Amino acid sequence: MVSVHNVSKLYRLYNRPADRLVETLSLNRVQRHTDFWALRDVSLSIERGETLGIVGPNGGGKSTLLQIICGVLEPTTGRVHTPGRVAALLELGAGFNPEFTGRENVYLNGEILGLSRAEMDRALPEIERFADIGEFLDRPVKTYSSGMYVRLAFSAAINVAPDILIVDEALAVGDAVFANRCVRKFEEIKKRGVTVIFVSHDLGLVKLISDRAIFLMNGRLQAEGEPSDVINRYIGVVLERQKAFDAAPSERTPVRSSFRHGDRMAEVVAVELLGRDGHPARVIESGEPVVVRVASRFHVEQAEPMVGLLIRTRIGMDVFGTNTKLEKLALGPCQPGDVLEVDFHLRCSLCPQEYTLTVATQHPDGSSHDWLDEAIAFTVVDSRFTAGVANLRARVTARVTPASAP
Amino acid sequence: MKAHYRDVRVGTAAAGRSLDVTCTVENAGPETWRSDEGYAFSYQIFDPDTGSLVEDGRRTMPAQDVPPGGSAPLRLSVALPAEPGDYRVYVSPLRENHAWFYETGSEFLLLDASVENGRAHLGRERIATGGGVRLEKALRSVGRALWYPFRTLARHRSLIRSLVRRDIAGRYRGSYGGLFWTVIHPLLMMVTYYFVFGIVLRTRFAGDTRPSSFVLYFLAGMLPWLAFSEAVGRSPLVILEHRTFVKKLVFPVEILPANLAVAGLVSELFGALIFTAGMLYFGRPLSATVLYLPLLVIPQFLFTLGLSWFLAALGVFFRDVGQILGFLLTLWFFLTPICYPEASLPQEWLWLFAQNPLFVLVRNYRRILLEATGPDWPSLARLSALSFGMFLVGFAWFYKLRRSFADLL
Repeated sequence: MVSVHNVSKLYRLYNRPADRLVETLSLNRVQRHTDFWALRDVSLSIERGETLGIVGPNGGGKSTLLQIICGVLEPTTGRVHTPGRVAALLELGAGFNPEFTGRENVYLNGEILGLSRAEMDRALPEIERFADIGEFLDRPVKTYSSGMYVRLAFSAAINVAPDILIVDEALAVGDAVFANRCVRKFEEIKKRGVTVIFVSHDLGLVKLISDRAIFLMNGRLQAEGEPSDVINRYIGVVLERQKAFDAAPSERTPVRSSFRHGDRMAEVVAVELLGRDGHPARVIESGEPVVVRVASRFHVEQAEPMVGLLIRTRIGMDVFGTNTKLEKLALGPCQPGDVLEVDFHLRCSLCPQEYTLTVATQHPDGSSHDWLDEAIAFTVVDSRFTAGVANLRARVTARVTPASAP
Repeated sequence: MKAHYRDVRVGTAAAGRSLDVTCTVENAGPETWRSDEGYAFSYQIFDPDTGSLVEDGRRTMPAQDVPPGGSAPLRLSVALPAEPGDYRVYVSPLRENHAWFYETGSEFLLLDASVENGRAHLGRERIATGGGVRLEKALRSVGRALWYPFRTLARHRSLIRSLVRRDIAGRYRGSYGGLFWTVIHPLLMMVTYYFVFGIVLRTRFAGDTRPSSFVLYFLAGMLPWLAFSEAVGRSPLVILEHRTFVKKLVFPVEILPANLAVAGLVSELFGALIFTAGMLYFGRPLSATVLYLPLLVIPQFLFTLGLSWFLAALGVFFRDVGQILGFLLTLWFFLTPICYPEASLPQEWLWLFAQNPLFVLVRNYRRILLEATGPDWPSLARLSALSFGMFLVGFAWFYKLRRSFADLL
């Protein structure tokens, strides 16, 4: 049984490395640091053969906790008890020397874990079979593709008969076939009584293979229990934070952009992307009707104002652009101080990908009052994966003409 | 803030992990203990190995105010954690948000206990003072400082062997010469020095005018230097190069400098092969005094390793160490009479040059390998003492700073 009792980890942040040395070596208590608690009072116990998934936002303390459980870091307070051999995959192929062959690296890896050469000889066939990299096992690791690297490192870690296996985000790199094989392997080693502790951002995987999950945020244990409950709690917190994040900028800093230019005789004061429900959204379902709302304030009189938008992909390719003039919407003269709000109603027939939204308010001749590149970034999701940019909503039919027909 | 304890009784519950403590606490300080001013009794549980706090106990308020000179009954139950292992419990009064009495120099109750199979076992109970416990800790760390460096080497010897093998094989991996370079490298260096000192500057040792004497004297002096400079020169960067070992693997980092020192000895072994070949070539017999060699190699190894430990830890904090060291080692090489005879040094300053540990080693290597005499015992004894000290201090330094490595890399 792995137990974590009241574990806290304090990081002392120093301005200069020399300050740390002075403090470590001084006998009187010189203070030259500021405190940062990466973990606060975390207690856990994990039964033999149990699989524990750890979820949480980045910087929440997940990796710190794993490192403390493995013994790479020492806790500031509290204590960890790990009976048996711990195999850790904190980073893939940590300790692999690229000049050496896979086989040599696997042997050394085993030796670091405390296995004898004879034990490694016994484990090798299974490592070889599971990694499935063929003759590459006898080639230098530097010639491996990243997929082969993952497979060998993972295989070397799980096939050395550990009692406790600790995995940090390791499966994120492998291909689908390998990920599937790993899941089955997890099931198998669980049956052997191996305790597995793993961190993943893939919530589906956590739900699939863990018996219990914990949710860590700001160094504290926020939730513990059934994986699906814990994941729901985590998603709830993430959504709340996302909302707070979305709400805050619209009040304080009205608009953001990667590049802004124009004469500022009129200014864009608000840009919003509204989802189907009329609320601001950054994640849009493919095919969902959305509204892009652009509000501009005029500082001079403008007889024929014009407002436009442009959607681009992440790599900067124009996907769709239009403006009020092209859409033949006359916006009448605006006086200084007027705020003009324009809604573009669009059907978001885009393929799942990340996009950016650029908006502008312009003179009738097209020169800019105020042009904001990439004012909003949004993601399009779909239940199906489709390639490209435009979601053309294919309806597929087929018929077969038999060869024997006259 | 002072307290005395009387009638201490500690019992373990029949089936459980708690220790029941009863005693009478006397207020030996000038202030009255009032619970509304934050005075309370409680305990803290520490991990005796690391000294880290495991648990802060629940507070027990004194039933009524305790005036100076008065006393109060103390009854509390210490709940030990479920995890098996040893624990050290401090029972003491405290003033909330001010201090624990034991921190201010007062006496406190110290219980050593352990948990096994979910049951608490009481080891030793006594009344201790902070100073006494600190002294005990200091004595224990002295004991550790003497014992741990040897334990490290003994425990990880097979890992050190594999890592050194890998280091040496890896150095020339991908080159056509392979292991051949391990031999050829000192040989080429020797030829260079032979050209400069033996042929151009006509340096001669011990009044012997044959060029062969220069070659052999120079080689004998190079043997300890090869091992020393290789290990020490690489030590400031060794932890940085193995940062994944520190941050991502459960790995005894203290063996990394040891690997360097052992790899240095392997280089010396190759140097010794060249030396032996030279002796055969020039028709010089090896005398039986060669058997003294271990007496030189052991202090040389300890000194090298101690310095490597020291520099390896320092190199994590100051990356500049690696830069300066290259220059210092060159200087050190020329301050040591390796490619010139001792007699060329200013004689009135010879006593100062003789303080250099490498000087002692070089001189003694030559004595036993070439001059067929035993080592110079007084200088060797001093060197051994110094090396042993360096070995212990280097390890203690490394061990103390090791905890910061993961945060710094």
